[in-house]
Amino acid sequence: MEKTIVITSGKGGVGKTTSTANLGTGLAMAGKKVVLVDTDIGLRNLDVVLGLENRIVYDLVDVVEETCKLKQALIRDKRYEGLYLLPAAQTRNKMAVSPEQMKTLVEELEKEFDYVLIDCPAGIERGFKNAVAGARAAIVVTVPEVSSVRDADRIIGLLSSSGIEDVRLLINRLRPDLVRKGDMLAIDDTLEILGVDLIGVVPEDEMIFRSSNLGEPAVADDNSMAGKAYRNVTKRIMGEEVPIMDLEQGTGFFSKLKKLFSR
Amino acid sequence: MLYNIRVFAVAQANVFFGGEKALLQNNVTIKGKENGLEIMLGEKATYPVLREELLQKLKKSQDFFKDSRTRVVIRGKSLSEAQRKEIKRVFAMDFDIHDVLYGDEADMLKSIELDIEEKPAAQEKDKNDEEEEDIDVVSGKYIDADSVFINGTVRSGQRVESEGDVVIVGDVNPGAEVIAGGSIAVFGKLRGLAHAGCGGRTDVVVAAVYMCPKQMRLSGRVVTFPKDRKAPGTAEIAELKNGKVVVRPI
Repeated sequence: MEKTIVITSGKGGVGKTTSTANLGTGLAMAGKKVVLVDTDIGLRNLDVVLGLENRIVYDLVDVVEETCKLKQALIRDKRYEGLYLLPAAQTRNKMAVSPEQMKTLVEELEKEFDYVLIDCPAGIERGFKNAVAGARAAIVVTVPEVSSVRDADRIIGLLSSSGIEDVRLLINRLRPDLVRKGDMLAIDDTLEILGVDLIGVVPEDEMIFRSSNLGEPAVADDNSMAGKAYRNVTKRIMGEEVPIMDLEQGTGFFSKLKKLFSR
Repeated sequence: MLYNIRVFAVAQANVFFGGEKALLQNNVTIKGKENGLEIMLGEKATYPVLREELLQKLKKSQDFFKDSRTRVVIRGKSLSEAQRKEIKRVFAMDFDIHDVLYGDEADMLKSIELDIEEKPAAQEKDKNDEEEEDIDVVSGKYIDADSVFINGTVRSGQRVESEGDVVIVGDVNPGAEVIAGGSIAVFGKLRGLAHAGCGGRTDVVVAAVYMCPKQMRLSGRVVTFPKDRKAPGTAEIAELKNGKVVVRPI
């Protein structure tokens, strides 16, 4: 997969920021030099999810307006070697940056880093246009829900008209029990509508709430199902072939016991 | 101005000589239509005159429309809300006819009427008719209209428009719109909106390999599909037959 990737969805609240934080951390853990760019100007979150909020001095708008140098605005995550954040401005709005400026900025970052992950705001307006301006590939995040899939479809259309052909789908917050009951869209149904390659399926996991609040990405947690799914996605981004995790297979004691008896 | 005065004079005459049979008979005309009656109220007569004449005429031909499913559409002179209600009550109480519409209501209904229920019956009928029908080239006479060919999926938020026909080799996803002056063919799954004959042409069709839109429009007709509709394994075609949208397998 291309190395400058925008993480987008159209709909809000489906896990763009969480996914960006986890994939970025995962790539850094795999020894890559990664920068995460928060383009959600005015509603920044990525710094919080990464636990780097208190270290922001300069932000993306400062860089674009040349108030500071790019290097000054980059925040290095001390926990993970090679992980950097370029935070968004909180007191400005999306119009503070133009797509052309974003493109220049991203090209600058590409020289320094192995991977540039761009966290896109919800919506299809200026913020989206800024986020995709410099991207070469996209991961579209969707939850298995009709409205989210509809928005993802819209986004895929807009991405292809922006010239981004390498588009992968990340299904987030899947609950196998609900799918089995027919109350949630199955992976196949979602893929059938959207018709793009799947890069991973992340199950609903309570640990994500905890990790987001603590600012510690779940990808680093060996006990988290979502963390494991994100590690697999990370490997797929780096070009490894990893089969999609069987979510039916629980990791708890009882499910292991059940499995033992069902043999 | 002169003309207006004359009209006024005639209206007056109706009131004053309302008792005269010959004049009375001409204010209300009743016509049989495909699924009911159309009643034309003379513009010049006053409401009491019209009501009286309508009642007389209806009583005279009561047996003719005994069926309470008859739809009555009233056109002509515009009536106030109270007058409309009174006429409706007369139909309901005296003649057991509950489907009474005024011209403007009927026109509005026509464009949103959903005739899904009629479909299974119509479909069966059409299967029998099928062999007798000549195959005609649907838009042969409109060759000069610009047609569009799309190779790929039409996604949510995207809109394809053409004065002529539209052919799509791919899916039309929910939230996408395909609008054509002519016909629409989808070599894939139709799940978005398709509107064929948007300029009013009625000789148009919508064909799809997998027909499962939420809503479809043919000319002025709007039909919705059942939410849980599963398309059959074969391609289907929707067309207008006697003003109704009929869907059948190809």
